[in-house]
Amino acid sequence: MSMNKGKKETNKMRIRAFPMTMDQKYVDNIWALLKNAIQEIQKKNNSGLSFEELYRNAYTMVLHKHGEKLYTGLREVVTDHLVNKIREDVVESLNNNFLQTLNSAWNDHQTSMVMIRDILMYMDRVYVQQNTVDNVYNLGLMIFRDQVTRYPNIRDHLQQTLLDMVARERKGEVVDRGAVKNACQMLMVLGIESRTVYEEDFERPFLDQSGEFYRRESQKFLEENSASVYINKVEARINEEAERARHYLDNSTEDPIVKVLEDELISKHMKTIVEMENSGVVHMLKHNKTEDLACMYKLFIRVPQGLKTMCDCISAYLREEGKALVQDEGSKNAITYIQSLLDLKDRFDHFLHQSFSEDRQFKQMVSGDFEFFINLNQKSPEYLSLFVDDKLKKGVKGMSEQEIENVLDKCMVLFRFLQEKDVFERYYKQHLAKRLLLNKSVSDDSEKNMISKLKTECGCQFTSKLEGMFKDMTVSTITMDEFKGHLQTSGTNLHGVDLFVRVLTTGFWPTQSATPKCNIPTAPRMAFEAFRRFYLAKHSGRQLSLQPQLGSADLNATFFGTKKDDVDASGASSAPKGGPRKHIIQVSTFQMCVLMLFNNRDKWTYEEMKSETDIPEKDLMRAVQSLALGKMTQRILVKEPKTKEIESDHTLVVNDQFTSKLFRVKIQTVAAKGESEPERKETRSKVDEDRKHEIEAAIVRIMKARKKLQHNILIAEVTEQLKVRFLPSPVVIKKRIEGLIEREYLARTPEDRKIYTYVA
Amino acid sequence: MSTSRIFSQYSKLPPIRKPHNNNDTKRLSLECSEGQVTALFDLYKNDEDCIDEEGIVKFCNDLGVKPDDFIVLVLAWKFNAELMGRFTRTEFVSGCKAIQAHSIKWIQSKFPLLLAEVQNRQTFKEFYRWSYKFCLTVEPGQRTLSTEVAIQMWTIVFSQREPPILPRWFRFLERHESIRGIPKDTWDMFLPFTEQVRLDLTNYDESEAWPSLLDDFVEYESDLHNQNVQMQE
Repeated sequence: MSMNKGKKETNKMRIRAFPMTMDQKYVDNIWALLKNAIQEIQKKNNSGLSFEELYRNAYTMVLHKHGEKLYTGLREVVTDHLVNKIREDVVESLNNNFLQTLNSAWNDHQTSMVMIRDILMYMDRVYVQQNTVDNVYNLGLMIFRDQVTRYPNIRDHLQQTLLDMVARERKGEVVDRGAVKNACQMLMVLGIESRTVYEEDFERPFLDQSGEFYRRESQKFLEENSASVYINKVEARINEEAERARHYLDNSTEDPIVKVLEDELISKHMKTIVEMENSGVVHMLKHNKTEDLACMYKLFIRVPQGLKTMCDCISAYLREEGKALVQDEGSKNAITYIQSLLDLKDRFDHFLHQSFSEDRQFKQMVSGDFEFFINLNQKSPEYLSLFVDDKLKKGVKGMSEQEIENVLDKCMVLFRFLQEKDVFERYYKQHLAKRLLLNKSVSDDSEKNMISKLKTECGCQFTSKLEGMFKDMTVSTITMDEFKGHLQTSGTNLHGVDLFVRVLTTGFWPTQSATPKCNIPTAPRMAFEAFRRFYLAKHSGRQLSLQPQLGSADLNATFFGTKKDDVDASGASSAPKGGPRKHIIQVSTFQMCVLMLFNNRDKWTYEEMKSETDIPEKDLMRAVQSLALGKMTQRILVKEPKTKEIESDHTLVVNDQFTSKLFRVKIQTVAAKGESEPERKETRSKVDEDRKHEIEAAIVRIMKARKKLQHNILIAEVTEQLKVRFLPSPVVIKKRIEGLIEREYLARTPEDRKIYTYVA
Repeated sequence: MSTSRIFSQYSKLPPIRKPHNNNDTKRLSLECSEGQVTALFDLYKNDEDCIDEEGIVKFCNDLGVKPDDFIVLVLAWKFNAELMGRFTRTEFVSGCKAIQAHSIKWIQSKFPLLLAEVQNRQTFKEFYRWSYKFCLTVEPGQRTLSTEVAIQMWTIVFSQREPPILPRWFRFLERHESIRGIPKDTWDMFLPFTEQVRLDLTNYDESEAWPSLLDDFVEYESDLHNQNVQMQE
């Protein structure tokens, strides 16, 4: 600084720039200092160093634009250390404590790099930023990665060691999990922003090896020849591998390794397992192995097509079982038929609940299968109605109201599967009519309950007539009260007949083809005439016709003969003891006609009975069979000769030896096995008639709304509308369309014969 | 029936005169023919001022044709005849005017023209459909043609140009006694069937709203064909 002589100094302050140049020697010195410090740190001798001093030196270097020298130098030092010292150590330990050595080398490296980074933080923030190079820590990682971890010898050996350890653990040995974990973590970190290092150096070969291993495992498992054992082992292995990944590999490996297992153990052998003889799905279903099925479900849900494979197998089995049930002719009556179907449904509902967690796919399969086989047997609708009938009748043994309710709900489930619901309706009406008229219903409430269930399914159309039937019953009771009043006031004599009449409105009740004929004996006939006069006086313009196929009678009967036990050993009968026996016999109208013949004459041939009573053959046969060929306590008549058949010339007399513990004896009519073949044919032809009308009504309805419609669309719409009742075939619909064209309800359009128009 | 047979009868026809564009001649010919037509009608009419079946037989005789010939049916159609087996005065007179003929010879001369006219696809279709209704009138109140009569009608109606499928169709109808007559819709649809469906029935599409009797026919034919194939194998 020289003084300027003679000149006056101004008062301005001038900030002197920092000396920009630093001579080379100075820089070299700083670097040497730092280099030494770094090396000390690497040798773990950092305790004697001053953080502040080193930081300042680094700062200085960077400030004076010597960042590059610092950076390069750093790289050299680190590389040098790692290559010449660390790597050597690791390589030496290849066969002895390798993992531990590598691991501690890695830990040391991390620690020292942190410290080094702290010192060189200014360079990180300024030089690194400005020159977009890797920061100090990452630089260290990269050098470690390239020079140590990925040094060919080390890399391969590392991979081999890790894979070995996994393999051994899989065999059941105990290995040093911590070491593996550390190694994996190291690889993860070395990927810097990605997991590539981990992936390439470990995960991919790991997955490959695992694939190999499990390929062999699956064969071993299969040799056990038991699906149950297989799936349990698979489940165990999957859990094991998942846990392994979570615990000491990297978390992110869990998914890929599980996928490998799913692939090798499940996907590739799905069908084999499912179809395994004597242990597969079918076996499990047969022997109710819900747990095994649940295990299989949980496994198979993991893989694509897994559930479908199971579903297909189960479906085939279910269809077989169902088919066997519905096609088993002869041995079944309606009750056992339906009960066996309900049991089958229960079985599979149980599986759905216990093993398949109500899986929707499985539910749909079960429904589809039931719908398939229940409709294989044309009698299913009739049998279902008979079953419900049985449950709604009095004397249903051993079931509480709640239990009956449950059974009826289950019946509704079966009902939904029926394709010919209209057939069911027809039979239901018939059976309901019988129950009401013979007073066999358990209760009005349970009847109405069932009807409301049906209403929910089918709509009002069906139930309105049924409700009419109930109404008739109530009105009849009122009418009878009025009749009784009338008898008193008019003093009419009914000749000892206690009459009870129910008046049925024709439209509501199922009709027979024609009212069977019958010659009613005098007394009841006169009594009925009295009622008829009374009723028609009240409701002129109506017609009443007696229905002998319905109705019942209570007869006072006196038996004059000895009891059978009173015949003494010699065979000769002694004098009647105890006098004539009186009973009240409950019989059907037809049976009443037959029995009252014996008031006129002791002996009748079958042929004579027929001409006298005028009862149709079929009904007379049934009536006489129940009176003459039933159990001893039911045998009111005796037939000569004592064969099982009734021929025209056989004679019948009253069984004077008749005894019964009960005063009031009810004669059972031959049980309702359902209809006989001719009756069934008749019902079916009625159903077909009704269907024709329903189809035509549907066609007209649709065409009226749409005015113009293409043939195929019309068929589709008609089918859609009717399918809640039955499934019309396109051929039948076409014939109905032709009929309507003939009757000029529809016409083809001139341009296109495939399009119909509605003819107003 | 081949067309040559129809035409062979008319080899001695007078040449067809070209229409002169001469109003006078036209009017003259019209006036002439009106009177002549009426006279012609009177030749064949019965007591009730109609040509009945007997009259038609005579009429056909004079024309040199049989009453069940194709051309007679065409004439009836041209005359707009209401009932089969009868021509009313109005029908006959306006019919003859329509075909511009006033005598037997003139009517005869119109035959080729009429036959040609009915060969046109659209015209034939109308004629074809009309024939069914016309045939029904034989028995009043009848709604459906019996199979037997339908076969006869088809034979006549297709006598000019027989669809190749026709004999097989007849065989099917004759072998199935359960068929209860041919409804109008089936008759109507038979014509497009002959036009659109190939002889080997391979392009028949059940879903194309053909009448169900045709469905049954195709099924029958295909069963026969399969049986034959099996036998040949």
